[in-house]
Amino acid sequence: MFRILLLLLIGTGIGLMLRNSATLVHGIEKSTRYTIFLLLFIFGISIGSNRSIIDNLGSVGLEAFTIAFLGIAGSFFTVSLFKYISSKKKGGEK
Amino acid sequence: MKDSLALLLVFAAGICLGVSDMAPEFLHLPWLPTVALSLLMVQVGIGLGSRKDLPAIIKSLHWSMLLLPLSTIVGTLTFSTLALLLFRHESLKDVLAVGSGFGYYSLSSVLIAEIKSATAGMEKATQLATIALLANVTREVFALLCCPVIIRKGKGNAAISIAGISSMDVCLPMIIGRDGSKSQLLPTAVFHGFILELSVPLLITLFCQ
Repeated sequence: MFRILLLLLIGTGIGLMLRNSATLVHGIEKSTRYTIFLLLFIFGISIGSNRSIIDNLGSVGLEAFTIAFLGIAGSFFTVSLFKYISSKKKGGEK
Repeated sequence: MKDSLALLLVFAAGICLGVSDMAPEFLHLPWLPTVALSLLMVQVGIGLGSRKDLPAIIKSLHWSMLLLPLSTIVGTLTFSTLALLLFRHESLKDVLAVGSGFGYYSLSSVLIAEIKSATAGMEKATQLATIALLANVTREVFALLCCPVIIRKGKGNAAISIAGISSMDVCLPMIIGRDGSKSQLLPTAVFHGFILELSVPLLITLFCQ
């Protein structure tokens, strides 16, 4: 956890210092993309060479879709709830 | 969207190479993902720090703007626990880790694969990371499709919240409208994505330990 946070902070510091360099800003967008490509590629290889995942792709997929829709529904519900509560409060103060 | 497609293609190519068992030895080196991930974290930081609109966003900050990313986090995580009712073999922490991607499929899946493999072994880690990748890709695609509809109904905050991380990049054009008619939502949308982007590594590390 601390290693990741530290790296993130170091990066933000570098970004703040070099924010006026257009080449850096443009370059970092590109290199971030390529790093993600590399990571996903390596990740794909480890999935592909893992038989138990390839054989269970159906159940893994179902689980993923369920969690995705629950997350979306949860966000929508909580924001609507907040809006409802805050509009009630405002109404009460009038 | 073009980028998401390219990412999925690279990912699919990796899977095919893995299945065919023809991947060169050096791509299986155990330290390779760690180094690449460290590089990625520094770059994500540089990207955040060098944003041109960072000063403007910081100026327009108000503590109440934290409420939106917080409700996204609370709502996503609370509802994600419901998945335990269907998938009883999963643990609470694992489900929460998957939910904590908020649509950031690339980062969340590699983080889970990396951190989880230290505690639960390679196989379990790869499986959970695959679920995280698929779940968060679904969230982004769904957000892309739904944002315009929800925005048209005048629920700007709900659209931002559903978009998760993508409220500050992929879904931003839709949130503020193609003609910029809803540009008052811009700081909220970017701040929302920013806070979630910071929270992804923190929450995932927390739930994977």
